[in-house]
Amino acid sequence: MELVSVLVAIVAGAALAGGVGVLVVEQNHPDKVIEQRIEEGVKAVEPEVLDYGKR
Amino acid sequence: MRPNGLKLYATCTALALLALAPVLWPGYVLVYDMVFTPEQPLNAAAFGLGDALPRAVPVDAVVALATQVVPGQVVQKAALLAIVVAGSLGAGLLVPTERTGVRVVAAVAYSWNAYVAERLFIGHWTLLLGYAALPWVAMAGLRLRDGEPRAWTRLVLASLPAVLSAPGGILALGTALATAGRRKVWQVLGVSVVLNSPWWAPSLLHDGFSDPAGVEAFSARGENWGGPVLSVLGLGGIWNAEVVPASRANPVLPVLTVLLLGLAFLGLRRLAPRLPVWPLAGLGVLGAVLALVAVLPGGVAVLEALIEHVPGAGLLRDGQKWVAWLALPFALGLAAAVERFRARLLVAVLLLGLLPDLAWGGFGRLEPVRYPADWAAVREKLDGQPGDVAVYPLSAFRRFDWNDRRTQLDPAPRYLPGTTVVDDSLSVGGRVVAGEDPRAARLRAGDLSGIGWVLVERGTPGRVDEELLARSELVHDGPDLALYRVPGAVEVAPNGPAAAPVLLAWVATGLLIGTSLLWRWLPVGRFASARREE
Repeated sequence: MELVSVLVAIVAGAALAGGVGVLVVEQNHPDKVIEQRIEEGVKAVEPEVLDYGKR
Repeated sequence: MRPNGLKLYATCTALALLALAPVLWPGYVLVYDMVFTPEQPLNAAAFGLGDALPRAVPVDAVVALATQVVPGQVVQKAALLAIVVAGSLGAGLLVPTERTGVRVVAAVAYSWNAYVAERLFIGHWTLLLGYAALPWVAMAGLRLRDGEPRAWTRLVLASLPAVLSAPGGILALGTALATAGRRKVWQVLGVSVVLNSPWWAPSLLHDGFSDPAGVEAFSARGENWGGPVLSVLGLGGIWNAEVVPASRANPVLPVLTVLLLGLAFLGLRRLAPRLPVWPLAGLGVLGAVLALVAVLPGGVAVLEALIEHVPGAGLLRDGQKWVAWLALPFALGLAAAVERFRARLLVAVLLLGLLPDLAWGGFGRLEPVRYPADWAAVREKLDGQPGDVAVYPLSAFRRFDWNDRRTQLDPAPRYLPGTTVVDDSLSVGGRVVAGEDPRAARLRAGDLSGIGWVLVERGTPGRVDEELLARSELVHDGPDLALYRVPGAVEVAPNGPAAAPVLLAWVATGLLIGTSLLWRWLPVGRFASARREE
């Protein structure tokens, strides 16, 4: 019974993660961001020293 | 195996697969600081004998040795899976309960949180291996506290994944001290000093300091309206906005963070009669304070002064990493708090739901790619050749089309044989934090002493010294890499720390690990520790 609960919880979690994840990916998928960057011509003006990250 | 162990093991494996399944595809995950290559070279720098501060020691040596036996991508996949499986399993087993559901809550809370997600996405897999080892170090510490025979051997072995890096080693030391108690302080310190010696010995012998400009650049960052304090208390708050999961901007998160922390505190009170949790909780508070020092009034000035004048204080940079100490008491407390709940597994589901974008390798963040054929061709050409390799463009990070233009550390030092000189200065939002390799600084100034080859990595932003290329001989011209031989290269003597003390550190560590293994599994240890220690 407990194993069933664990599995149900994992499936529920995965489903929730997947559902919300799809939305998140839709908005923030790295590939999409890159596509946007290229579209906006950001690639053409990339700096000489690449950023480690941004705050 | 405990009666309910199987279910816990299955849950931990499921968690790892949920987070990292895409990583199992063939290829290498190359993102920010995470670099794996088919066969990492066993060079002096990997053992702490290079010119730069030994920031990736001893992990580079261990990975280099491992990749002599199995391909680098297998080592990478095993290491990443171990982070989630070992971390969650350790946290689950640490809870003194017979209820699997309670263990599952601890397992999920410890391995499915912002700390794991953010450090995974920035590629700090070595730090996360240390994080995953903390529950096991705590278990060993508790056995040491109880005077269990041969408990010190458990402490040595549990600490091994942590001591692969300096922060991991310190995280493990703190956890061991908090769990083993005051009477075992010297035993814990002795083990830790020896196990961590492969990184601290060469670090002490270097006279370099970190750039204090890094304090502000790498300070904790607010991820939502809760600001840096609540972000850090929610185990997030890493400095780099690019690696923060989008779900961390959830407006409900600051409120839930306070509620979950409150629940965890109540759980720790319930747990206290069964487990000495308050020293662990104190350590968690210390971790949160260290993570937040740089955002407190006057904190930047204090840290900058320390980093400028105290050797090794560079470890305080990127202080958010120390909040790892808070994760364990949080997971234990939360699990204990829900022990009487009937629907306690819903808490685990809630934790998963609060961070959905850790699933499936961050939905595209962790995606294996293959190195273009040029890399193997250049490695073959350089194999056994004298002269060091200077890599252009002069920039620590790369963005290649073949890796979907993800920001990644230059793979050249870990792919090519011999010694490779790369620019190690870091740019954060356009602000440059100076590097720590004097040789890279000389290369930036045009000094080619000891450089026998120039490698140009194509398809990544940055400038190449065309004059230098014009007077060099082109020996490989591929779509991704070009290799030039520098005429009249002058050899330079290695300028790293003295080899003898570093070698001694490695021998001492090897002896301690070997003795622990023998003491643990051979009869000699059983006879010597037949009775419980006083």
